[in-house]
Amino acid sequence: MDAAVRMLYGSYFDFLGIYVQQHSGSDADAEDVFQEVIVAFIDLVQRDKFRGESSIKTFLFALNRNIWLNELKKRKRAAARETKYEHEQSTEDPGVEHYIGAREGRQQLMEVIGRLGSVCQQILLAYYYEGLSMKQILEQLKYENEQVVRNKKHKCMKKLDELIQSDALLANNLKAILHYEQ
Amino acid sequence: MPITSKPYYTMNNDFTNTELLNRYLDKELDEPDMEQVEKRLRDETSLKIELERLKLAREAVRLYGLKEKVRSIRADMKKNEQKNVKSQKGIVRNLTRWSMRVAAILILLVAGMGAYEYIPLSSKKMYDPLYAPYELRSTRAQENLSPLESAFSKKDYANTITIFLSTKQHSTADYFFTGISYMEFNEPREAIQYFQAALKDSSGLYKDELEYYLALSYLYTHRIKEAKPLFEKIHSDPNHLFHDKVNNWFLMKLSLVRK
Repeated sequence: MDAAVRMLYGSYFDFLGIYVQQHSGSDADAEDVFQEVIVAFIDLVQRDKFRGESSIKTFLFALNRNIWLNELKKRKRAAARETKYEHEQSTEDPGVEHYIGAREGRQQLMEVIGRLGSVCQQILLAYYYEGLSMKQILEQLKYENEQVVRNKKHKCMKKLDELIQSDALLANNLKAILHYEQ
Repeated sequence: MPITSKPYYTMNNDFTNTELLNRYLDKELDEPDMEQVEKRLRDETSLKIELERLKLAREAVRLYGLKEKVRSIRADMKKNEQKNVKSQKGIVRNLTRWSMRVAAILILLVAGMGAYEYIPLSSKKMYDPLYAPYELRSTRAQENLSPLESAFSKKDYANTITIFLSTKQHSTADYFFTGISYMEFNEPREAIQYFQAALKDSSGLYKDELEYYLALSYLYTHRIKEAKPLFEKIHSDPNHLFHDKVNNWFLMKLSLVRK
């Protein structure tokens, strides 16, 4: 993973960053957008939703452009600019279109995870992202036994589910995200 | 709002629906309880909605982890860039060919994953769109075909196999058609033996077909190491009958299938 991310940055960041900078974005915007591009791309590859019909470069360019235009729209910048770019926001790849449709909801989901306590974040990330076993998590986090970790994990998931349900904005976007995930 | 606040009783535990569904997703329930949950999921729409939401929560955690990982790698890169710009550029320049770079990126992306359960790529999934039963289009009249060829041309695969097993003298075509017949019965392990035997024939009869279907049989049985060189050979030979079936993206994905 490390090497792939480094390679993606080394190969495409300069090229794609220029697009954002040339369209009212700052250096920081270019960084943020590219980071989102990488995360979305990795996710799509791992879900087998990047079919390779377009080259990686073309695909990343489409993702980068659409994420940035979507972000511009979200920020509600000058109406003239919105109008100007609106017509550009047609996507040539269904994977990109799919991603953009669920983008806002995904961002809200990320924010919800950020609102979980650090212990819950550690346990859930260890289990669901790193794929560690209960035994390995126990070694890292120094709980009494595996059952305690397991119970804690369930409590954290319950907490996360409650946060998702209590977030009205997220609730509105759940349908779009669920559609994206399928 | 939770779907219901009532605890759901199972053989050994009192679980709320959320907890029960989490344990179901994490495969922590025993078999009768798993079946009971599946039955409820078929009957209760509200429970199914809750399950989808919980799946989404897990996905959110995974994506959050991915985002944090990318962020930390980027932070590390920037730190190193400040220290030594030249060495960073050197790494990129070493990969001069775009195709190599692209393949490397894709391989690294999946090979580096910790949680394989999220990778939907599978050899079977790659096999399905490529496999089509071979059809015998003989210019010979039906009465001039051997009994085995005749059975095969009528798509009577069971009879094709029976005839092969009940006769002693076999041609390369017999081996090939019998192999295909086994594939039609989803028996690629059997088919492999027949294709391998037929390929030993020095006449080269059905060579392209044999290579393609043997590669597919390896793919089906997840023998990626054996499938890969055959697919690469087909891809690199523009005159191969199945050249068009094997493109660059297919080969890349083959590298991504978990070994």
